[in-house]
Order: sequence, then C-alpha cells, then structure tokens
Amino acid sequence: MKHAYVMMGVLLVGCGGRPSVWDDAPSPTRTQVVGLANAVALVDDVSHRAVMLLAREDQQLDRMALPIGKGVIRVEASPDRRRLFVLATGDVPRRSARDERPSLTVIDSSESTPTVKRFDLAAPRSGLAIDPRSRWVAVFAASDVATTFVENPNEIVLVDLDSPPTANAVVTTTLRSFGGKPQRLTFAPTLGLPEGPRRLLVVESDQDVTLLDLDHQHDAVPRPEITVRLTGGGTSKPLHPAAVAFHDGSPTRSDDARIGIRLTDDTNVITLELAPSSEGPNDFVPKINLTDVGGVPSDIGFVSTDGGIRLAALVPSRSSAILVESETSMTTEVKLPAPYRRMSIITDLVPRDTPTDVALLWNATSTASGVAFWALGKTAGQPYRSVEVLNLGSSITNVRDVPPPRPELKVLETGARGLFVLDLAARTAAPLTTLGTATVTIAPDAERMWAFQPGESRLSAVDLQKLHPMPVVIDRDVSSVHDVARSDGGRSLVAIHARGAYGATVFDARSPDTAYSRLYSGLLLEGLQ
Amino acid sequence: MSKWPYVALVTLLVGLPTSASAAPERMWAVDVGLRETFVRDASFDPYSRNDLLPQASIGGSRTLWANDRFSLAPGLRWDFGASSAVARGADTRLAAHRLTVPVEGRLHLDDWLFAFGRLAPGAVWQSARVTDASLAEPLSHSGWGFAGDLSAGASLRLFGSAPAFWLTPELGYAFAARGAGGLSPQVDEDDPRQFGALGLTGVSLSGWFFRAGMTATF
Repeated sequence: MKHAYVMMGVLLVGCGGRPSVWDDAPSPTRTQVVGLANAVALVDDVSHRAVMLLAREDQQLDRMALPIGKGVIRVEASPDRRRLFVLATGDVPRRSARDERPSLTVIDSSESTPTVKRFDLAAPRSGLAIDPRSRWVAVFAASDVATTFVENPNEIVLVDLDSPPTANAVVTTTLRSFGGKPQRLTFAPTLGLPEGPRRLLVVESDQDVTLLDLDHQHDAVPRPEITVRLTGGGTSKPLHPAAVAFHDGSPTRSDDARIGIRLTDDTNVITLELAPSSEGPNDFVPKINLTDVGGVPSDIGFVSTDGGIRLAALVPSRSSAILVESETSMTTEVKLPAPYRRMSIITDLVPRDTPTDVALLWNATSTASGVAFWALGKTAGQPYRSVEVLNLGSSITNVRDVPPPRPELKVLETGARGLFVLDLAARTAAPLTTLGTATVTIAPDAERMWAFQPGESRLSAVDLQKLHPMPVVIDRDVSSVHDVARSDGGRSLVAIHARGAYGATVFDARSPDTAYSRLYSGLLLEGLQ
Repeated sequence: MSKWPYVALVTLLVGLPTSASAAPERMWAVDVGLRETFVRDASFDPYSRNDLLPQASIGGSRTLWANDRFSLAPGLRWDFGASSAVARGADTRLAAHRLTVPVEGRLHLDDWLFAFGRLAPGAVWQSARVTDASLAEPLSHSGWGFAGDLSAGASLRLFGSAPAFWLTPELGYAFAARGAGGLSPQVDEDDPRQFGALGLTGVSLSGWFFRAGMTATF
C-alpha cells in the first residue's frame, strides 16, 4: 500500500509549473503599439517579443512573433515606418554567459515577411537617434533614463544598418567633452563639404555642439569629432542649444554648407559655416557667427530670399521674424501679424513666381492667429513682408504633413475640438468639427485620414480629396489606429483595443464598412505555447 | 520518459504475497475515484498553473474469463474534469470528458488483493474557453479526439465480501490526440460580425496519470 503513496508522491513532486509569462497580464506600461508601413507591432516586454500584425485580404490578420531583447527601454520606428528599433537592457545583472547582453533589435517590415536583426551592445543605453535615411542609428545615454550605476554620457554607439549584425557594424566613439552631456542627436542631410558630399551627426549637449563625420566612421582611424563650445560673446556662461537647422548652400559650391543653432532662453542664434580646412584630419572647420535677434527665438530655419540665404528666427516676444545674414550678422526684422512660434518651409508645395522660399507660420497664442503664409521675396517693393493670414478662429498647435501624392495638404490640429485641412495650393483651410479632442492618423497613401478619441469607440474616416467624413462603427474602445499596406496592394485599417490581452478590429481602409470588418482578440495570448 | 513508474510497479508486484485462496471469481466491479493527469505539453499552459488536470472517474467491469489466478474483465470508464487558470489576465478553462473501454487483466494474489493491468482505448472530448477583456464574448472550441490509457494498479479489499469494497490505486500513461487549435467567440448564429480565431494551439492531454478509487465488487 505504501508503494502507491510513494508513487503518488513521486507524481506530485514531479509536477511542473508554466512559464511565468502566463502570469503577467499585458499592460499599456509594458506593451507598446507602433504602426509601421506594412504592419502593426505590439512590443510586449513581458514575453520579450514583438507581435507583428500583418494585414491580408478579406480583413484577415496574420500574426507573427519576433524575438526582442529583455528589458525594453525604448521603442521607435524609422521615419519611413519600415523599420522598428527596440533598445533593451538584457539580463540585469548578467550572471552567466547565457544571460542576454544589452541589445538593439531592428525589425524590418519592408517585405511581406518581417525580418529581425539584433546588434549586441557593450552596455545598456536608453537614448536613440534614427537616421531619416535609415543608414545609421545612434545609441547614447539619454539623461532621462539611467541604465547603469556609472554611465559615460559622451559615449556614442553608431550602428550601421547596412552592415550585417556583426561587431563591425557597431562603432563606438567617445566625444571629447568640456563638461557637457549629449541631449539630442540629429543626422544631418547630405552636405556639400570640401572633399565631397557627406553626412554628419550633430550632437547637442547642454553646452556645446559636436560634429561627427559619419562617412569616415569605418576608417581604420575614424576622423575625430569637432566640438564647438557655445558661450556668449563677453561671458563664460555656457549657452544651451535647443535645436539645429541645416542648409547645403549653393549647389555649385562645397564650402558654404551651414548649420543654424537656436539656444534655450537666449536671444542669440548661432550659425556654423563649414569652411574648408587644410589642417587636421577633417576637411572642414566651422566658422562661428553669433547674432542677437532681440528676443528668444522659438523656431529657426534657413530660407532663400531675394538677398540670398538667411537664417530665419521667429521671435514671439516681438511678434517678428528676424532674418540673419550669417556672414555679416546683419539682421532684418519682419513684423508679423501674430506671435507665431513655429515655421515650416513649404516652397515646393505652393505655386510661386520667384525662386525664393515660402514659409508657413503657426502656433501663435492668440485665437485669431490661425496660420500665415510668409513669402520671402519682394512684394510691392517691400522685402519679405508678404504675410497672408488665414484666420481660423483658433490657435494651431500642430501641423501634420500629408505624404505624396498630396503634400500640398496639411492637417492642422487645434488641441481642442476641431481640425482644419489646409490646402497650400489653393490657400484654403476647411474646418472639420469634432465632438471631442481628436487624434489624427493620416493614411500613407494620402487618400484619407482617421480621427478618433483614444479610449472611446468613436472613429471617423475623412476622404482627403472630398473632405467627406464617414463615421465608422466600432464596438470596442480604440487606443490607436493604423493604416497599413496589404500584400495584395490594398490597405487595411487596424484599430487596436488595449484591453486584456489586446484586440484589433480590421477594416478595408479604402472602404471601411463594418459589415466587412473582422474582430480579433487575445492577440498577446497567441504564440506562447 | 521517467523510469519511476516502472520501478514502482515492479516493486509493488514483487513485494506482494500469494495465497491458495486467491482464485478469481467472476464478478461485477463498479468504482469511483479521482484522477490526476500530469500534462507537460506546453499547449496546456494557458489552462493550468501546475500542469495537472484533475478528473473524477467512474467505471465498471465484468469478469468474463478466469483461469487459475488470472482473470480478464472488460468494462466502461468515464473520466471527467476541468482545469481553470488565469493566462495573461484572461480567464481560461479546459474541460475534458474521457470515455474509454478498458480491458483489465487481473492477477489475484490473495482473496484481499489483486493486481491489474489495463489497456483502455477510447475517445476524449475537450472544450477550451477563454474570456479576455479584449472581447465581450468568451471564445471557445470543443471537439472529439482519440484517446487511450495504459495503466497498472492493485485493489486492496478493505471490508465486506458481497459486496466487497476495495481501495484501488492506479498509475499509467494517458494518450490523447491533440485537439484542434483556434478559439472562436460564442455569439448568436445571426450575429453579423466576423471574427478572427484566437490562435491558441490545440491541447494534447497526454501524460502520466494517477488514479485512486473505491471499488465495489459483487
């Protein structure tokens, strides 16, 4: 008899458990939803995977789980939405060789079947800057998230995405520092430099700006960075960079590329002209020009005027724009009808008779400001003073671009109830009223936009050609919507429901009919068995 | 596969006494008991925290052949039970009904003890259900599949003679075909909505099991 008990004991002692992932419910704090061009990614830090939702015909949704690193600290998509980047700390502390190292996982969804590459990193880092041209990614120690007891904030890890995921793809460089810590990294467009067109990485610290030649990072001895210390003219007080702008200069010249720098809480703007240099390993040297624009600028950008290239700075405290000639520091003040804070160059999007730029101004504090078109050529003998206001009855807080083939359209968000669709070609702004503060998703094919209120089941499609809004019935609360391409050439709208193990409702994006939608649930339960 | 069940079975049989009064009788046997199946398959993880499927067991048999100390008794058996858990915040439940036709060979060691081996082909009906907050309706799937048990045990008479009551521990391996995957919402037939299936893998309820029961013979 006792043998039976022994056996029962053996059986019960042998009973196992299940992987701990089953005991952790998904939550918005550990699950991030990112819309890509061809898929929606549910990045699940609990199960260490990204569940890719791939839209197929008939509103079918294929699900594909791809591994990511443990301890996700940052998730970002490339500007073209074809790649997803996931920074992870790995196993902390790392006790055995089998424990994961810190890593950068790159998921490429360009093809119908996404692929994944993982780059191991020497130490966890939380800052991520992505090259708009998808060649480089820079990983650095962001100041908002500390990952290790001791960090070197000036150590920048450059990952060459065109290389296979080997050690050669990762270039680590430590910037020469004068006490500053990097705050922002920006990949410059191709600039005409003395030895030929190249790409630069611009690192803004809290007191200086550093230029790094990307095209020479794979050299046996990479070219050293150039650090520009920012101080006021007569004092040693450090200046804090707030943003940068670039201009390649004349297409026929290789010695006039320039970088504009806006400062935090300072009335000066700085231009760096990248002039030829015969000394040192770098073929250029930045010539620094400091110009007081009479107030703290809120936005800067290089513009082409009748008089040549100027750095335009919006100064809301003066309701003005200041045009700075970088070589002479001469300024021209242009009074604006409202204290606009933001500016976009829209030259290529509007009909014009002159080669000079046109800028769109927005985000003024007064409700009557709307947006303004600022022509940088001469009008009736008055240079740069052609400012045409579209009074929209509210302040514009954000301007959303509409991709080709309708780049002349902009969606203006007010931060309150209502939207505007601005047609730059016709200079019209069509209002769209909403019952609540709408979140907008613009379809990459520029045919429509989607407006919804997160946490509610209200969703509308707006035809961007006819501006015809069409309510879409959905029976669950929507947390985000994503207009993605299908492998059959069509497009699907994937509405994500961030409840439980996450669900989705899939519509044909070009003909969103509830009668043909398909509902999915428990998406983060799948693929774990 | 673990060697422990084999070692235990041999130990049990070798260690038992024999007696001249162990000649078998043709008898009916009815038993009730509890069964625990240890399901190691990962497909079972959403439905159980500990890999155990508890079931109640009801069975009956009739001795059709007896010779010397050996007898053979075919019968019918019904094991039924369910396992519930919370999987990633979703309530889950897997119910299983196992109907088998066991053929039991007995070795009568004494008038108060017999050992047996049992081969039980049959079928299992399993029903999986998941209730997740991402959808108002629960999702479910059910279906039949082939199943079979191969087990050994012993019955120890506790009291009585007609009827006699026996304590019956049993150890064996259960095989069950993997159920179909994919759970669909439980909605009305006229519900116009279209749903995508929840892609959970079908469960295979194969695994070692232990059963302890009370048997009445008459």
